[in-house]
Amino acid sequence: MITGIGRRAVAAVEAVGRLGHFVGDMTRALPDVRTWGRLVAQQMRRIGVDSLPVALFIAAFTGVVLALQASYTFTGAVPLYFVGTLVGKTMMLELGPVLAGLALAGRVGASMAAELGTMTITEQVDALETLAYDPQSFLVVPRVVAATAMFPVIVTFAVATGIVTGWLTSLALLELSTAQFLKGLKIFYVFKDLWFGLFKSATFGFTIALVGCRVGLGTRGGAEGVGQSAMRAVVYSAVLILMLDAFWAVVLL
Amino acid sequence: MIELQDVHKAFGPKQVLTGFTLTVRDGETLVLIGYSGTGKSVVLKHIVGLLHPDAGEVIVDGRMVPELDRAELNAVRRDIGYVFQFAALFDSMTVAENVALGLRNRDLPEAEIVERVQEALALVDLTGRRSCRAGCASGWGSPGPSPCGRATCCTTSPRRASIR
Repeated sequence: MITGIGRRAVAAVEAVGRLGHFVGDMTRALPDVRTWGRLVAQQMRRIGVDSLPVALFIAAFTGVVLALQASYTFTGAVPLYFVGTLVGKTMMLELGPVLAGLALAGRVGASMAAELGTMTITEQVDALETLAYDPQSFLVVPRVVAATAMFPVIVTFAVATGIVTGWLTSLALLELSTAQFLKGLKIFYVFKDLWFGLFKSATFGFTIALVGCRVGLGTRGGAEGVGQSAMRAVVYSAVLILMLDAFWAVVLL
Repeated sequence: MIELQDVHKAFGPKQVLTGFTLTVRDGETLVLIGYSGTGKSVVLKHIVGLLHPDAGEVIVDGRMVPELDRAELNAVRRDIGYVFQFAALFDSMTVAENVALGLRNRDLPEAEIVERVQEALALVDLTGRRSCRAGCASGWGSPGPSPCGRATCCTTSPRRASIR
């Protein structure tokens, strides 16, 4: 048993080391703007625009549930306009970034791992190298930059959607007026609520893209290997998002 | 000149190259023949720096390939056209975009890139399929290196070509 624990510990340290090495390679590729610069816009569309419906769908229902659960919890003990406070704060600080992050870990992370995994096993990555391209510049940097830039945009829309559906739910089902909802929304609002969530979402985007690319480029075997990579990318990204979420809460709040 | 001297390479327990030595002089045509899994592709991948030897030396034009940094390695690779056995095309790009890819990082004017791509596609009889997605590569006729891969190799005007 001790041998098994030791082996797993060594494997975990090695994995962290490989990820660190990968980040180092990516950093060295950053000055090659001529290669990655023209590819960023395409990735921003794929990662950002194409992911928006999923994020908005989740946020819309989250807003509804938050409003109803807040009123259920308050039950006369707390003024009902605090529904606006709870919906706004929770969407901005936590549920907007984290739920969008987890959903996009599946959509974006798995897609990157599968795409780069297929490119690896079909020698497209080797082909890039023989054409004198750095795979980091051509494949990794555009994805990481695009994800880091687009996640805050996606989360902004998701937060806005959640708040709007929370407001509509309050109007329709909780006998709360718009003025009361807005009063609750504004009463404890500080600018930090917004930037904290957006900053956090940028780190989630960076992590998801980094993990998706690392796992994808490390793919071995055939179709089964690609499937394994997609699954690993989702699991690792989800775990790292939750760890980062806790880390930023400790450091920044 | 390409030289491999006493090259050893293993993948896990499988020893693929054991003391492999080879010299290819400028202008010389050389064919490596062998059963599947005997290391022909491994030799070619050492020459372009995709693999590093466990022991021994790989020298291209006097430069020790495993010791080159990325910029120096890219300079070596620009002189070598490499055609992959199974095409290795980017299926999100068209045939013409695949063929042009090797020229896009060479500071060439767009007009010259277009001209060289057209010439290369005509050489392998692919002019009519320049706008097809490379994913439709199956059914491109004869077995062996794909015509699109050969066109990519031709268009970069390498000093030497490695065809798997």
